Amino acid sequence: MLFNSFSFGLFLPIVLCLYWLIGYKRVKYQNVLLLLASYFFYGLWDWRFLLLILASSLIDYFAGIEISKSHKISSKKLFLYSSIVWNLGVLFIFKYYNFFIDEFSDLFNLESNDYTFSSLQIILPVGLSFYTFQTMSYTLDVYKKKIKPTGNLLHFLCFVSFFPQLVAGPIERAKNLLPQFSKERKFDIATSKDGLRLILWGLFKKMVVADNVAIAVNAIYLSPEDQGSLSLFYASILFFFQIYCDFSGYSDIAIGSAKLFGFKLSKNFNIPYLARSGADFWNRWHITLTKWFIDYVYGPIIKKRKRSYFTKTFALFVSMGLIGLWHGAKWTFVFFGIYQAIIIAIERIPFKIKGKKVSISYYLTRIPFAFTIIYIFILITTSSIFFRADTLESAFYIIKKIGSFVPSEQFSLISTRVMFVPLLIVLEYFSRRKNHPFEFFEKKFSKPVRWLIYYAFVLIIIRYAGPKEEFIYFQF
Amino acid sequence: MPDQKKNLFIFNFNKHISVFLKRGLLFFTPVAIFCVLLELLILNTPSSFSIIGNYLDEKQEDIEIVIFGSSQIKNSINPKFLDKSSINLSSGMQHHNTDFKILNQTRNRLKKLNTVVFEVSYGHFEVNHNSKYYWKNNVFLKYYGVNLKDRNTYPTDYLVYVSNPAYFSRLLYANYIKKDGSYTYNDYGFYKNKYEGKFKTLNYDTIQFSKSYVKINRRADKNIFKYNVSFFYNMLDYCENEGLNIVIISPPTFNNYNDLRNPFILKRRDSILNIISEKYKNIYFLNSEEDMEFTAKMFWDEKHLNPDGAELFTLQLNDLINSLE
Repeated sequence: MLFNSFSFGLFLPIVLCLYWLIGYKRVKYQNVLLLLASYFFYGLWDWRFLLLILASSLIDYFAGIEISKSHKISSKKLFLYSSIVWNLGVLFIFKYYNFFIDEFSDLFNLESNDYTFSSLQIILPVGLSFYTFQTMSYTLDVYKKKIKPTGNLLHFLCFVSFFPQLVAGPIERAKNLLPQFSKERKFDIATSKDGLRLILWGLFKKMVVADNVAIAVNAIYLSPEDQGSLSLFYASILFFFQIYCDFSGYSDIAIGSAKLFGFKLSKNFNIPYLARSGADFWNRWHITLTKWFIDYVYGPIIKKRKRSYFTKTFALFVSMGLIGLWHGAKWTFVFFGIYQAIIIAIERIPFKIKGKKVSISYYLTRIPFAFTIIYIFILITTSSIFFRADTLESAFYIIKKIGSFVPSEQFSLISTRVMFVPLLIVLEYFSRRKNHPFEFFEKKFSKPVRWLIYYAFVLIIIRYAGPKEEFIYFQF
Repeated sequence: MPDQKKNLFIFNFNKHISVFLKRGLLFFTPVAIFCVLLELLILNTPSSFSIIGNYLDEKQEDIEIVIFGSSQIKNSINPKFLDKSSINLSSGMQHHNTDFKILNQTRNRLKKLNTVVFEVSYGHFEVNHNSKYYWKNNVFLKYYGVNLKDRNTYPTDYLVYVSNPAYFSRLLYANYIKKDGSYTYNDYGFYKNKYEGKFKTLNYDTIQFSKSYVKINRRADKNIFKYNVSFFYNMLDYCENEGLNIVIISPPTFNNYNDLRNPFILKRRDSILNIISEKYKNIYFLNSEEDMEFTAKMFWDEKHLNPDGAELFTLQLNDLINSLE
């Protein structure tokens, strides 16, 4: 069930009404309803994969309890590793097995038919990387004694499968989300109103901006050989806005939907194109994933070693390489991560000026915004190319072509497909200190004007929604 | 606040929720009414799909020829000029997977069907099939009674306007505001007045054509090609088992387009068509891609004919089909 479908438009109010009819004091029944609704929501994609979610949930739930119960470190480690092996194993089989087998057979020039391990004909369960990382963080946190394990299976099942964030995040930590299932959740009209506004804003970003921009981008990326430099450069910038609006639109709808049920999910985006450096970009883009890797990969690496520039850079490359690989089993994604690591590493190179230890990132935060925005857009464009291209060869070809200033025939900067991108930028810029532009309007306009604005956005969505596309991040 | 634990009636919302729901209803009711009116309006507006759908219902007992393909076929075959009862079920961006599903699901209704026309134009084997989100899924379900989705349908799958708001908004605008007759069709759902295209804008000046931008796929993709060819074989096997004649057509394209074609794509398409011609007995070809009889004034743009060009091409197809007897 897609967030931008009629089915969800029916599903959400029905579940919401039932949920509040049950009443805030019947937390257990509310949770049962949420669990059933979440499994129904996910089962509409493929009910068989519900078993996978259930298995992951049970393994991590019991692993958490056993880790907590065990007195010996070796036993604790055994349960932790069991959980990690299961989670990473599932991820590997469904997401990376074919990639590694194909690469291995290519390396030795073997046809996969001749090889003992042949490719598997399997489909990737929607949202696998998201809920796997969420459950894995639970056992890791229990092991590190950051949280106590829950003794309530229902709460844990809800935590893993909570439908607003099940298939594409935000990747929640047990510390934030799990306790919310045990508390009474009281209905708050202001929070619910804000939830609806976030949903509206998310739908606008996904259906109007992302889905329309997708057409313009696909047309150019279909055959880069026939495009000029300007077209390819423009398409790469547009692709950034496509994935940004696609994914942040999803996150907005997820956070907004959760608010309607009295839950608070983590913020996942903070206008990334206004970042002032590569590192700042990752503080604004897919924030929950970045935090996950900082806490469980980057942090542990530098914690065990001397905090030198070399150690930090090593940790950075490992983390960013894995972030790239998390996106998909393709070299383009790995390179996407490595490229980001190179940029951040360069920004962090320490040097001394007048006895003061500084780095490029220090200056990036101090130079005029007009300069940093050029820098960020070059970074965004090149990253987008690796993200969007089918192969590394194709990505380098596009970069080379952009750099060779081949004239673009019939290049048009403005079309109906991209006309909402400037509106998005303007609205987000002026409301950058708020969670979303509609929150900004709250203070600026009277209620009738605000309602007119909401109606205008609803009409824009009805009239200008692009052809329905699946959310890009579902495939991850 | 009332204790909800004690009372669980259907309207047992607390005060705040009731206020929220009332405001929500107040906000969304006009939106819902607007959407319903829009849908009703579009259902009462003639479109190519509705006319073809009605024709399919009325003439299903008589139809002998079914034509499938993309916008190139939609614009180049006018069933009016075919001697036998026929229907053109092609549409913009429609690929073989959609053609096959439509054929499969209408086959039992078309008792007299004896000939199926498929398109294999220049880049057909190199372009991805229609995705599961192809916007015409709703339209074909509503008007042709064909379910293109690999699942049971929901009531919302029958909604037309939301399947492509941009297209249907243009249709409404042309019919009720502009009223310029740009969307007028004959009894077969063929665009009668589709002359106002790129070539007319350029005054049919071939020098201008060569300077203009041509949208063409020059990218060869081995994986897509392999999948599409294998799928196409399945379609042909099905038709052979059903005892149907198969006509494969490649509609005319103008020189400025032909010159830009990737020779590799062209070569491997033709090699597949050669294999097909040897493998299947009941298969016939009409390739007019480089037919010089089609002058600039018969084109809408470099790869779509206008109604005059369509007349000529349909007559060529008619001759071929008549010769099959």
